[in-house]
Amino acid sequence: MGEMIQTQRLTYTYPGSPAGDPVLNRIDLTVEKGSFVAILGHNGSGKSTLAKQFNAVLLPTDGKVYVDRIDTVDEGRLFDIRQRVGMVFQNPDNQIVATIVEEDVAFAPENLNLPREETAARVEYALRTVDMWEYREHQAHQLSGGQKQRVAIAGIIAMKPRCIVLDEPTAMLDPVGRRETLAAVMRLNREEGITVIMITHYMNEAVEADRVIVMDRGRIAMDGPPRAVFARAGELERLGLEAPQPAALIHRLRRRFPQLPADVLTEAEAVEALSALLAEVGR
Amino acid sequence: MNVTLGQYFPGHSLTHRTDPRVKLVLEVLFIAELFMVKRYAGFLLMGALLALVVHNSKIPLWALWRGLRRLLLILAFTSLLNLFYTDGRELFTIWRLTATWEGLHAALFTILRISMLIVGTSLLTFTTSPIMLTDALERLLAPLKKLRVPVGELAMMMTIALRFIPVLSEETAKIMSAQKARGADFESGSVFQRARALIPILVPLFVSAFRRADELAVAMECRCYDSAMPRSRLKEMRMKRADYLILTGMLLLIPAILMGTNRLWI
Repeated sequence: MGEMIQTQRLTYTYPGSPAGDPVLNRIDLTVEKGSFVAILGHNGSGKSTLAKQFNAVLLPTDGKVYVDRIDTVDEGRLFDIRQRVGMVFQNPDNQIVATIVEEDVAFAPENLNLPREETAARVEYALRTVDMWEYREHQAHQLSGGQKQRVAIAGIIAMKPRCIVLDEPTAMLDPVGRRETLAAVMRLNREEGITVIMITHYMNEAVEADRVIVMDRGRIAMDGPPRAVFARAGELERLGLEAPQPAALIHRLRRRFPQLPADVLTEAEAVEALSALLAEVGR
Repeated sequence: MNVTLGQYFPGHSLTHRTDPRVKLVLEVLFIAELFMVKRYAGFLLMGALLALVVHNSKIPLWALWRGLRRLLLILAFTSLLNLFYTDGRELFTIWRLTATWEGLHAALFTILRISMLIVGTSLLTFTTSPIMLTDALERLLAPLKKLRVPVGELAMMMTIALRFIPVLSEETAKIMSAQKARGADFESGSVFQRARALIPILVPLFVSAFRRADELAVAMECRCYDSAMPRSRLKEMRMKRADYLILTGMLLLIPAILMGTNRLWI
């Protein structure tokens, strides 16, 4: 498949803060094309700063970041990088530029100076992908939070990026909006083959990824498939995180019932494990 | 919150589809004419023209009324001033104030002018999306680019301003409720005290506006915005035959109404 994003000893210090206190500390990370990576970490672990390195919003103080083999410090290829890696932020209100939905989604293709037919085709494709085509003539500020965030995602999809980085896209949404947004993101990954890197602090969202990275004080603390990462509940707790509820529950019950499986992840698996346990204890 | 300014009612009527540049030019002409008409017949014909456009655009009448309603007080006040402070033949006298026939006409003219002005401008923003409007302005002002006026940037600023009016007015309402919940009082005291009471609203509002601006700027950069680069448009503006017909028709009709009616008696 090849690598979408690669960092080599990536170090970043915010301008003005002392050089001995980097936000990102020599990170080596490779994200494969087509994968769905969730990045977790408590506040100040450097996860948002890391995300901003992926499309040259921030540039490394030391080390390298390659996007599709392009060095992000190469100013002449800035638009190539931004077009390949799209970025969605937490607050949908502050990402939507135009009043009308379709005009906002057209913003990026217009910036790329694409011909009108191509722009129109991309707007339709993007809005259909996030299931917002019927709302194309609506005013953005009258939509619900989940709908606005899907419009913001469509605005990025219209660039036809190969990778999309989402920085806590569901943090400001209600449960319905959260579900809609996550479903749209998963569809992008599974049906459109777009690489997804999602920063989140909702564990149940991270469960849907095929790789989970846990950040701590500017370094990668844990990295692996969700099942393996969430089985290490004690370690997660020390990093200020909690395993998804089903995993946390089984993890606690295992102190009394060590025969329970260690790698339970979803509700269905927890129900299955518990009914097996009940049948066994009842006997 | 009800924000009528810049509100757009999507639609596909002829009024909606007319080239926004044509609409903008005709709007300016229409407003100029409103202030030059001196006969009721002129207002009647202009009103008929306006009614025709309202009917075609299918804009709900309550929306137009909402725009007018806010100005009722100003309208009433100016017409009263006109009624009593215009010299001429006496109509009636209350206490020491004398209303005149000339004053009555001046008052009616003011009411007609202002309300037609409001309805006319509302029609423009109701039937033209903000982006189309700013695009039209950008194109009409394009010759100024030669004088190094940053027309493109100005148009983008207008787009963003129109986009954020509802966001910021919602935020103002939220901050006001939050301050009221903490015991702030905006309604009593002298004008001076009331102005001071607004400071705890304005400070958080500005802080938040700057934060939003910062985030929006990053988001725009992420979507490859560069004010120095040429941009294409989703909705290209191309004058169609209907646009030329409407433009020439109106360019003939509107001055004709003015010249024809200003010579009449009524």
